[in-house]
Amino acid sequence: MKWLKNNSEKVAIPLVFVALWLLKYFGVINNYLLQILMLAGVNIIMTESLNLVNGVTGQNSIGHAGFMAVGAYISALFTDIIFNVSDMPLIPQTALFLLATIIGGIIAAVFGYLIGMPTLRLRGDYLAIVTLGFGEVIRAIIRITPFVGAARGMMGIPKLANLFWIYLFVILALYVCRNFIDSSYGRACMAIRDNEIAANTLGINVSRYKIIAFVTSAFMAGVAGSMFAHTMRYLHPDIFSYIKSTDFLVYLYAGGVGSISGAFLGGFVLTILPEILRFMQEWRLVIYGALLLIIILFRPQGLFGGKEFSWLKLKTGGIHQMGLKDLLGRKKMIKKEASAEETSQ
Amino acid sequence: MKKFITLLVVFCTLLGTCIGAVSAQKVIPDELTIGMISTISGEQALDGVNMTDAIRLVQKELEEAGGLNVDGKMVKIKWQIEDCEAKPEIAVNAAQKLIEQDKVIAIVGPNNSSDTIASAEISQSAKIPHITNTGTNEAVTKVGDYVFRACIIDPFQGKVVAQFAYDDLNVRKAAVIYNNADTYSAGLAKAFIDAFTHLGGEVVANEAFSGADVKDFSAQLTKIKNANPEAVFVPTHHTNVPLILQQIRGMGIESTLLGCDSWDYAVLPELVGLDIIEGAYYVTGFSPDAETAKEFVDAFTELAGYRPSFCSAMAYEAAHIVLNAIQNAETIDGPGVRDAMMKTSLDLPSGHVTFDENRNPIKAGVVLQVIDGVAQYVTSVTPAE
Repeated sequence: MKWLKNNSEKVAIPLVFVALWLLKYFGVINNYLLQILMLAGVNIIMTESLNLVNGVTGQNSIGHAGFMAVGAYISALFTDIIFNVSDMPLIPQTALFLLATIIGGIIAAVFGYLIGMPTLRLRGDYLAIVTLGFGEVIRAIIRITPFVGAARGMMGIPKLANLFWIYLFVILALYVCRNFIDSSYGRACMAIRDNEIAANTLGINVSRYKIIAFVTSAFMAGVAGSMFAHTMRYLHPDIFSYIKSTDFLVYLYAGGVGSISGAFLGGFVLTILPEILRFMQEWRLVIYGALLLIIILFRPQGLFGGKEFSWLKLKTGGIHQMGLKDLLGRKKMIKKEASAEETSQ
Repeated sequence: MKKFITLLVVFCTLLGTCIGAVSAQKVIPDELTIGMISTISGEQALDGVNMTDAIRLVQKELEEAGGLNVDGKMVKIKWQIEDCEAKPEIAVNAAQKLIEQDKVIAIVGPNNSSDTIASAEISQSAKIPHITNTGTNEAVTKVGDYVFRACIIDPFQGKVVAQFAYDDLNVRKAAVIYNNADTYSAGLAKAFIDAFTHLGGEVVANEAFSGADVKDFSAQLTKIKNANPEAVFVPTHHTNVPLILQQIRGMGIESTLLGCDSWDYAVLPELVGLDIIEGAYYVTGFSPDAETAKEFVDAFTELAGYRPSFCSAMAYEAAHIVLNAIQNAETIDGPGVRDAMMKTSLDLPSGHVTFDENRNPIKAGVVLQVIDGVAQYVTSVTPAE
């Protein structure tokens, strides 16, 4: 019982998947809901990846869709053109899909290193400009590359990503971020975010830690790209325009920049919200925009800014952990806090 | 016991005939939903408005008729319009929603090729017929046998120009100048040359230049001048058209000028020079001035307050192709409607429409002539097979 209490997430994570699978099996989750859930999963991985750069390290990447494009195209090239996996039996198919995903991530990470290495040595907003340029350059290159479909787009990519793989990669992304933040790397990155000069004085190799965070983030974006390609089955260079990058920034800042839980919620809620609002017809995006405005006006730190789900068990200080109890007994907690403040005064 | 078995046999036979009778009969529901995906918001929002207005017109027609007449029964048609923001992944969501939640019988739209390809994959696997209005990319209908399009594609235009030049203008010697770095331009040139030589004409000069940034065409035009053609076909994007035409006339080539749908651009005559482009012919998919389109254009203008664009005309036609297929379908479900769509033979604003085996429409191309800087409708041409 004590083990269960301490390791609740080890039981809860598979249980959530089983619940989702059962709902799908009994037809409660139809293909439409499944598609939205899978897209939400991809967006969550992207938002978590962006959080490592923008939230944890305090740098600005505004062309993150470029890394996603690299991952998507490389993995699709691998599964669709180099090895035509759609005719293969399940096991080699899955193995090649995972391999393609990893390769997509690695190539994206290589690009991340190449553009991060020179720019992250500088201080200021140079990274923003360079990543924006990178996103556009990748798009321009894809548009003139005939074997990935050039400006026509790449069709008929096998549908290999399913709820299981996306769920697994979302969980992996959450744990990578959790462990990154809880490690000395993450704390160094946060020190850089909070005060670069002070961090440098303490002996932190600023540009090295920035590059580590950036490359990890690019790898995750590449993986998300592979998931996207194998869910959508169609890639077009214009999907990965700066508009897409902006979407991820919005998810991150509305969810709560710097917080894993915030990035998760932002990616999830804001992917699903426009679909829920479909009944509003042409007012859909107006309401969506208005809701975003309200979130930022009333919670400038984002939905979950500075807080984390307690099941992530972050040991790093300065984070308000939110457990199930806090959510249920919120009023009590606020009262307690208020009384604690009074006594301290 | 014997009695029981006899009874059982009789019962089974009766049941069998009943089931047989039911399945043979066409089941006509009281209400059907047809989906439309379009870019109501995002970069191409104007196309979204054009399409929605076209569907409003179809809705109005149906209301006035009291529904869609399917074998004597008036079926209520509901249109479910979904936005795709000009983003393929949202188009996929929209298609999934239409198929899963709204149980649509067919999907019309979206208006651009990449959204169509992405969403048509969904319709294809759900066996729901899908017809795009203006997705011109050849790859669109290659998604599968449930994907159709309402507009003519590039190679088809080349055929129309060739037929018009040969039959109506009596041209026997033609020249082509095109951009070989552009699939649109090269595809049209090839289609024209094939069709024109097939008809018995001669292409005396076939000159290519590479890249949209070429500004001097004198090398190509000298050859064309020496070949002395009766007509010159210029299938390039409208950005190249002014310079090419000006240099053609500057070299003293007096041949008839022929163009493609990229010329269908209101300010083009002014850019080229009114005296230079005077009398030139070009082909496009739809003209509001055509005789067959008059009724549609009047009704549309009255409803929407502006003249229908190519996009709205094609949305209107796509909607009517679907409605007509529902009327003629043997069974009212995805496969039944698809089979009926393949057999489409319908008179629409842009002319008579049938489909080829690749689900691209075979219909008339519209020929326009520039007179006093304004494109005037000349004729509609349906190329012979």
